[in-house]
Amino acid sequence: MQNKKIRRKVLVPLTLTFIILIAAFLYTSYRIRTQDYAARLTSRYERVQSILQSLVATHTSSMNSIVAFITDQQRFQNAMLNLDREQLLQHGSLLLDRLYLQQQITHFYFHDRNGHNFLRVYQPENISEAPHRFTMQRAMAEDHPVAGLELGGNGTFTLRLVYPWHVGQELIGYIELGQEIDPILRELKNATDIDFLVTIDKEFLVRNSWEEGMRMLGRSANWNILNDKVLIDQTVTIPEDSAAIILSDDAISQEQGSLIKIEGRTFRGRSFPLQDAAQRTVGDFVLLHDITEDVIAFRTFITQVVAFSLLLSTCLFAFAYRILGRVDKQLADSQDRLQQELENQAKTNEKLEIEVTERRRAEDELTRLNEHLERRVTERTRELHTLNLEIETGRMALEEAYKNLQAQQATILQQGKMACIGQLAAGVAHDINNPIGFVAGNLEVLEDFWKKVVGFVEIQSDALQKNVAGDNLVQVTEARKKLKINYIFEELPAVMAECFEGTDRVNRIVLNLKGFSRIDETEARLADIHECLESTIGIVRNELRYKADLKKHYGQLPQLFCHPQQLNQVFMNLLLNAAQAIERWGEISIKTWADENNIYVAIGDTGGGISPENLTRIFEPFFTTKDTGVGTGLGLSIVYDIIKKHRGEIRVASEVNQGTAFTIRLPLYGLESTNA
Amino acid sequence: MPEIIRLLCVDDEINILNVIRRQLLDENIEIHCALTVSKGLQFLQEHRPMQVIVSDYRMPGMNGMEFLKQAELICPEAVFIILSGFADIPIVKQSLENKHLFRILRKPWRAEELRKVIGDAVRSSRQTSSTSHGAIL
Repeated sequence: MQNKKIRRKVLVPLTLTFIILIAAFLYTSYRIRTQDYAARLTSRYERVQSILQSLVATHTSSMNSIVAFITDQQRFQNAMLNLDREQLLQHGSLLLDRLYLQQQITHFYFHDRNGHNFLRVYQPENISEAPHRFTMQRAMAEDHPVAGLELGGNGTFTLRLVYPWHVGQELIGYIELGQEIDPILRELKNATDIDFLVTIDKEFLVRNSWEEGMRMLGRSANWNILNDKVLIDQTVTIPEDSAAIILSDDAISQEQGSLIKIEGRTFRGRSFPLQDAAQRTVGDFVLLHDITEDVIAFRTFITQVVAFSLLLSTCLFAFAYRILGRVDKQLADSQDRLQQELENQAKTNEKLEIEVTERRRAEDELTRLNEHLERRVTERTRELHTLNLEIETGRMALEEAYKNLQAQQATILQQGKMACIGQLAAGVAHDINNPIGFVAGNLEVLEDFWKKVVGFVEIQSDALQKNVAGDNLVQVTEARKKLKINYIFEELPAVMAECFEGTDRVNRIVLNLKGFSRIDETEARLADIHECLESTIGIVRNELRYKADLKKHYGQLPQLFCHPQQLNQVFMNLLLNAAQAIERWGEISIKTWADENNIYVAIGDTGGGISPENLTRIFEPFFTTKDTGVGTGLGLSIVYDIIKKHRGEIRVASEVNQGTAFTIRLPLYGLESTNA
Repeated sequence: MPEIIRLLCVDDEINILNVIRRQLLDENIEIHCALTVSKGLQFLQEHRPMQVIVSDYRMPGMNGMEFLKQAELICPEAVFIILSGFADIPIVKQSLENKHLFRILRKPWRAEELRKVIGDAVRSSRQTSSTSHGAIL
């Protein structure tokens, strides 16, 4: 199947190419030949024309010389001048015979000076007026010899010469000579070996005279061969019907002419217009060229070429067929292999394609997933970030709130504690003050009474000394010694003083407790910081007593607008912390001073100190280094809070194992400025 | 010779009353004591006039200021002194400012202090009564 295809594919176009080539060759050859014929016809015609003209010219010149000879003959001059027709005929007839033999001159006229016919030498009996032909008219008009081919009424072409006859200067008449064209044409045929036909249009002819003229010339005359023309001359014998076919064909007037077959011979003919002396087209001059040999040669040539070409083509075809067969076979084998390979490849390709498709799908899926994931991740990240921020903000807010809450709780706790103490103190104060009241009162009474008793005993003793003697006095003196009455008298004031001190102290404790308890006192007032300090010291004295020496360095302080109870709390916390910082025994110092705008209170101890890492955290609520139950971790944060409320500041300086010092600065107008 | 001063002490603590009596032993003062408010009021109604009344604040049944108001109705000429473990009760401070109450003494007190306050109170009482007398005359 494949074989045939390829063969066909190659051989069909090859064959077609050959056919086209041969056809092109044939066509081209034909065209060239035709053009060649046309050119040859044209050149032949030109040659014929020029030869014809030269023949005409030759004949004309010879006629001219004949007429010149006649005009110079005295006898012709005299006869003409005398209008002697007999004389003229006699002389002319002799001449005409000779002229006809030598020159084939058939016509010989004498015309008078007006152009009227005087004598037809060849037809003396006919003295009718001859038609005024073109040559005659020209000669008369120009007064000069004029020659030309003229169509006669009998259908013959005649070369005519009209010669004006002058004797001296006087025109005596015209001499006209005429010669049938046939001899000229025959001469032409002999000279060129070209056949031709001459036809005349019927309009220029009169049938009877033409048939008569033809008969006179010994030619066959068939008026009816053609519709519009008659055949007047021919150099080749052509059957009339063939001639009619030739001449009626339009192709004959074309450049290539037409192909004519006459009696087994082939002619190529072309017609050219035939003109008379007056330049009228009066008929056709048909050139005929015998191309029989040419045609045969051409045919032979073509046949050979075609045969050769066919042979070559066949060889090539066969060769190509075989070669192609082999190629086909190889191709088929290759194709089979290729097919197999292709099938394998196709299978592999299919698999690959499936795989690729799957992979692409997977990849697309992955890409999509990836994008989705990325978008999701981005979104999530953003969300998370936002959430984180929110959480962070929330956390910070919560932390802040928590710290505030802690601080508030601490404050509340502390305040609650203080309020409890206050209430307790208030309740206890009365109960304590009553017994203390009567103890102290009674002590005073006792002192008074004791003085009186001592005074009385002195008086009694003196009296005894004076009035009692002997053993009784000794007894009294010994008893006095034994009972250490003197010692009692000396010691009792001290006993009393100590009792007073005791009641005093109890009184002070109660007072301080009460004073300290007024934690909810809201209004700020002017207070003496030293009083505050003393009040606080009164409360914590017992805590301090067994730990440290308390050293006070009080400066001059103005009164401060403040919340004294809160400051009491500050001082108490600081003092208790100081006491607790001291492990065994140390020193606690309180120093106060003031400048223009501030009051300063410094409370220092010689305790264990605070480590640097803790130093920054001591004001944080619930930060404590003390054992559980000892400290709440709130003390210093409350201190800080209170000092802050007073627009002051608290600073701490500490060295481990050296001690700690808190310095409080309280602005004199801190609270006033806030109240204002 | 100054005339004898009549003084009423009201306290639910007998010891306090005893101490006051002992502290004023050498003074020219007639001291009457009552352990309850009702007894004090009853005594006032029965033994007018009275120059000075010294009362505790926190007592069972009635506090010092309520007693004071009632006693004032009975014995308007008397000068009132509160002797209490509480010295800073707002209502007490208020009446001190309104001159209903002459003085507050905090327990524990000093004998000297008490004697001085009573002296002052008596003088104040006399002035008041003399001016009122003058006004009547």
